[in-house]
Amino acid sequence: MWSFILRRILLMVPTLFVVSIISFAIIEAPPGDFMDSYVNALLQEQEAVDPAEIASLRKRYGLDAPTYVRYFRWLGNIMQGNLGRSLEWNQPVSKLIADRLPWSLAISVASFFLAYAIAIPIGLYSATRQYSLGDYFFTLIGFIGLATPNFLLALLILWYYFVATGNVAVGLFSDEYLIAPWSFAKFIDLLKHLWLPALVVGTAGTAGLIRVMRANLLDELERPYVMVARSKGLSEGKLLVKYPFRIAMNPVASTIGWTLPTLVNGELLASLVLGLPTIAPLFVGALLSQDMFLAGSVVMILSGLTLVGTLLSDIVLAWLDPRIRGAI
Amino acid sequence: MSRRKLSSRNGGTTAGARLAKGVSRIVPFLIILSLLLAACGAADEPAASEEAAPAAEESAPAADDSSSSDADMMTGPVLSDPPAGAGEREVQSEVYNTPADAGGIDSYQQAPALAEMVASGALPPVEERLPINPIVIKPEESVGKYGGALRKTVGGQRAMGEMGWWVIEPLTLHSPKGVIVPNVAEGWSWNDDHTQLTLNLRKGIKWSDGEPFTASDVMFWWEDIILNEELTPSPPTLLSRGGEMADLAMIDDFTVQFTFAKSYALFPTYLGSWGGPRAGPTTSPKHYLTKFHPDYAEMADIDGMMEEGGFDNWMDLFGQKNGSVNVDKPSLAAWLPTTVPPNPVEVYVRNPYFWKVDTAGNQLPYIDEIHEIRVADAEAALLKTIAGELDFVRALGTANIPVLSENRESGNFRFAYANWMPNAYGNIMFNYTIDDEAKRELYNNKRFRHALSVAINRDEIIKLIYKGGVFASQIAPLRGPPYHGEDELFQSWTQHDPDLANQILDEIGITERDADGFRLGPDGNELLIIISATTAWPSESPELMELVKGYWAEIGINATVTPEAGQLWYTRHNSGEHDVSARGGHFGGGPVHPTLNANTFAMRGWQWARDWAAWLDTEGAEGVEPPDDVKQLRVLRDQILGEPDEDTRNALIREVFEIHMDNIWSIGLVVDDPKFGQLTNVHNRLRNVVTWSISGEWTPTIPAQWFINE
Repeated sequence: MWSFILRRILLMVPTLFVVSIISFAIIEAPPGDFMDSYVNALLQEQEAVDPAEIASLRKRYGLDAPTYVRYFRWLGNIMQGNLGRSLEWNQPVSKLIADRLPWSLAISVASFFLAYAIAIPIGLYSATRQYSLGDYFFTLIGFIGLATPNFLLALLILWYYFVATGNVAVGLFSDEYLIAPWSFAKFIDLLKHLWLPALVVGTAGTAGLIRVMRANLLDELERPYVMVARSKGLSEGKLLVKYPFRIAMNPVASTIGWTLPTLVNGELLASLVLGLPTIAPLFVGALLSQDMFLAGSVVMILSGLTLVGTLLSDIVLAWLDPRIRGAI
Repeated sequence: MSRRKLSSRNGGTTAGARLAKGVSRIVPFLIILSLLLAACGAADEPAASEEAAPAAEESAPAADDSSSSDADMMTGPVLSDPPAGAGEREVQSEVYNTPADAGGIDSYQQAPALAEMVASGALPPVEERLPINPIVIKPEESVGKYGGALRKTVGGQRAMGEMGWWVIEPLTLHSPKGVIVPNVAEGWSWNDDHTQLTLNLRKGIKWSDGEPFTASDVMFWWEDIILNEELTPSPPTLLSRGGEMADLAMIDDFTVQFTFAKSYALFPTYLGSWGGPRAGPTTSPKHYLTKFHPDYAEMADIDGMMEEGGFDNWMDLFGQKNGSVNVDKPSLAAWLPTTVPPNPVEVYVRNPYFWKVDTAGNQLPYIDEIHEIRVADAEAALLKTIAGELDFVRALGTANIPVLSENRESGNFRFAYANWMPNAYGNIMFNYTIDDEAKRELYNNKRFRHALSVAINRDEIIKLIYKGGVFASQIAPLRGPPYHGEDELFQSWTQHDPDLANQILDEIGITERDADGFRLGPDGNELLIIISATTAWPSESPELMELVKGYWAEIGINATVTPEAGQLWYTRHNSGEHDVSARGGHFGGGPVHPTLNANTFAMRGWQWARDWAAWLDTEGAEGVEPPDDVKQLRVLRDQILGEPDEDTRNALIREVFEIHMDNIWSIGLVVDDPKFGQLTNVHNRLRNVVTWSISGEWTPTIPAQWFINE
């Protein structure tokens, strides 16, 4: 087991290296660079643009160097733990990300638990009462949840909420708490705002989880061992929780792996719409303005988390399922 | 296979079914519970914020109460009449250069919070903080009251919203009536041939940290920033005249003198204009910035600071310290930044050393704090506006005007507008230096452009794409005096006349047609015009061009439309890869003097023909030689810059517009009415805001005089 984990960790190094090349290439793919988008923004505002000044800025930021030189310069800095300075915000990237990470995590963790808390009981219900009215109802809700992009859902909820209450549920705090220091009242205010992003972000995941849980459980419930257990007189509740449910949880557990990166950027579009102070709007902005250091750092962090997440879900699976443990 | 089948096999009511029943009883309960919890959160919210809001308000006046000697600025609104709607009142606000000009001021007062600080000795008295001659603002409506926070928005990707303009107090200012008036400079004089400008700085102005502002700060900007080749590799072109860099000399502590190689009568206007040296002379506190400049500080210290901040060179460090979002940098503006963007809300607080007062001697600004709330999504900004959660919101988009109108009452806001230079939408630009010889010949023939312009049915475009708020026009400058963008001149070649178009095309000799009836090029080959339309500004450009393509087909011109994302469009356009392209444009006026507009005077970055502009800039070393009419634009510009008489200047500018309207280098479709395009939403609690701004910019309306009427 330990050697397996060690081997996996070692394998992550070349994977990350390849990821860094791919992400750099993708960020560099659109024509132009940060200075182009900077000039474009200036022109739009009718500011005077001096080509010579732009050329010197480009040189100062090292944007005039060949692609591979810029790549290795960037990679070299990252290996030393230096994420660089954001061209757009003129701040260290690490500070920008650190300021927002707690918010991203708060929303994602909230939606993560919300998703599991809603999905597992519903999945259980849908499977045990397949084709009942309730099952159809949740199936419908589930499909709507899966099919609706969460930014659209966010917009709809925003408008509906505004029409119903006359308040705008944008941001994580009411205006009066936005710049207030932390207090219990501020925390309560946060909780009042947090449910909406958590719900919006969690919807698609919830709907997906319901389907997975339902399908897995249905498969298991037909297995002979269930019949055997039942014929031996095991109580139905104990039976369900002890056997089919545990096995049905396996695929669900394996999804934890890819929820780790979504913890950081899963709320991307919804955050834009809801005006949340998370990493996502920063990341989108950086991609649009080709702020290489910021965008690249976020991509690398996400990739790193995906790898760690995959490893974690393998470990969790092995812990849950002795058969998998044997395979290792 | 179902659970039910299993149970039936076991016969009767099984444990499975019992279990299912149990689960079915619990699960909906759980769901309902969670929904209820969510709903409770929702239901609680309005009540909670209603409770909290007054609490927040109370805390602000609480500061007032402690120094209630000034009984006239106490609780309750100052004005009880409803505020005037957009354009309903002529601009009332005046800027007096000195208290004497305003009829004299007996004594000065200050915000209660500052009075407290003076009492505790933390701040010198208001008389000592103000300059000898503070600028006196006659408020738009009435003398206001201190307190409150102004709520605005800032877009997701910007460091600053309008604060970006408001944090700069230039040497000269466009007054609320659109005239250039003294600001940080108390006065100026020219020598006879307008080559030497003597600027007298306002004596006794202090930086926001209390240090005096003097000519040596202006000289630091000039000698250590502008003339430092590392910091400024190529100084702004507006600082040179006749190909020679200007000279700036310090005469005494409060007098500086610019010397130019040629007469430069327009320079004081540029000092207060967008695109001009608006910032710089008044935003470079020497006592602070020398700490980061190697000519003054030890390089070892600078290295240490670079290390700490992660900077690669001292120029980047200096640039960051000299930036307007640096909270430590002293400023001359009414409000000072306290947060480093991006944050959910950027907070700006009153500058205790601000050097403008109202006619009653109250030190401005009235408003304690500016909150720029970060709203990345346009829909969210719209919602917050109609919920009355914002005090001043500009340009939410023409498409949203109906929604905003409907909600004016419930949202408790009103409209105002600025007479901004009109946005011209769907300007069709030609690549005059394209490799294809047949196309190059056609595009460079103005008769061809005339034909393409009159082939377009602009009225139909307005009906189909816009619901109103735009006019059929070529690209046009500011409406009203002095440039008269509404004039017939800018309607040249905008009539819909396909017969005339056909006739012109026949006359210039492209009469041969292919099997589909499309005209062949002058070389007898197929002629297909590829229009690259940006999707960025305006986003409807591709739709506009699809319509144009149809109109051109009617006169036998075959075209196709390719939509391109803003960045891609821009990059391809600049490298001359486009055949024909379409984007929005401006022609100047208001805060952007036409001579500062690249489109109007074929300057660097001229979108319509970069190669021609490059040739003119480099005197033939780069680019492609333009036609004589283009060269004439530059000749006229040179005259305008040196011409001291404003009427003569405007006549020369008119001549420029006539050359444009004869050549139609870019075919315009429509321009917007600034009443719609620049619609601003002002909360009814915010007063002293002009109902419309003549000069086209919101900055000259002097936000420091705004107050919250509660």
